[in-house]
Amino acid sequence: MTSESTSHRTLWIVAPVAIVMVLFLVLLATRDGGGTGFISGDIDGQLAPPIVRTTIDGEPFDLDELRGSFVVVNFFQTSCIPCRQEHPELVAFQEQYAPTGVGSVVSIVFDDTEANIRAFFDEFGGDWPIIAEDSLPIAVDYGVPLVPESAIVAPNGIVIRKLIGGVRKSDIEAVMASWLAEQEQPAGTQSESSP
Amino acid sequence: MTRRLLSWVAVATIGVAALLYGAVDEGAPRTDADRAYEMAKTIGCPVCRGQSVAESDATVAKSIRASIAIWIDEGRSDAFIRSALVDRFGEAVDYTPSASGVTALVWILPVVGGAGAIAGLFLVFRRWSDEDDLEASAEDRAAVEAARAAVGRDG
Repeated sequence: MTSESTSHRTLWIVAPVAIVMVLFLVLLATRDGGGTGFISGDIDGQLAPPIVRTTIDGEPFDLDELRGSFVVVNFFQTSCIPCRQEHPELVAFQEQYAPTGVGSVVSIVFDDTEANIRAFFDEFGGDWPIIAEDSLPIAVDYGVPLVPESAIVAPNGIVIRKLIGGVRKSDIEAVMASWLAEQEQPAGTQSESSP
Repeated sequence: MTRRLLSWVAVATIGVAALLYGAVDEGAPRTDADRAYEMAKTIGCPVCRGQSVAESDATVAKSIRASIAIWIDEGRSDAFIRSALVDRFGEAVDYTPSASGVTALVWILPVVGGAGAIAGLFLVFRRWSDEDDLEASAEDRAAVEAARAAVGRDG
């Protein structure tokens, strides 16, 4: 056997392997890398997933019963710094809008203890329903991978926008104003989040 | 030749049987908990790098595990659960690649590569086998005799 035929045979074996490996590398290089950053579910424009639970104070809570007003569904954890930073904004929102029935806050606890939650609200204030019972599946329903996140639910029960990270009262008000403005537009020109 | 062929057939049969056993003999999950765990192994944790929700201790992984258990309890199908999680957290959490588009290469390339490798091995072995069956030509025999004679003369 000549060296020429040996190298020819080697080429026939190596070339397909090389082609397959190159294709794999191209695939790996061009595909969207999973797990490189957090993914927050986009539920804007969808009917808000139901929340029917008992609050930590033992009161029944049903999100549907708040139809007719805006609801800020806030996901939080007491050890999360941005959650602590946004809390005064939620308190201000609740104090301004809850008495008139325009809007209110509900907190969904993201894996925390009742003692921590009570201590948190004692320290930072806030008087609204807090859901800790079986709260983790609610986070999945709302596509929440990390806290804080807040879903702004319109009076018609549709999620207008999910705000990722700490919220400010002005952010929530802007979302509400935008939705209200859409309702005043002539029929046929409204976005999908409208009723 | 027949014995050699039989031994190759035996090797091929054992190899194929082993592959089939490994691929098929996982069996259906015995309980809902088994099914939930099997499903969790194929769903990526949205906030972790390269960890499934079965492995991760992140809160969102716990959340997804809890939801999977609830959905299974409600009698939902695997397809429903996978689709619901993809809807909420994106395609990247699905560790079972789709069989369409560029991602289909993940399924196709191993098959093509495996078939190519088997074909290559077959060709190489057959060529080697042909070489074993070579018989010395009259010229070869004459050359050997000449060499022997030369050795005997020198010795």
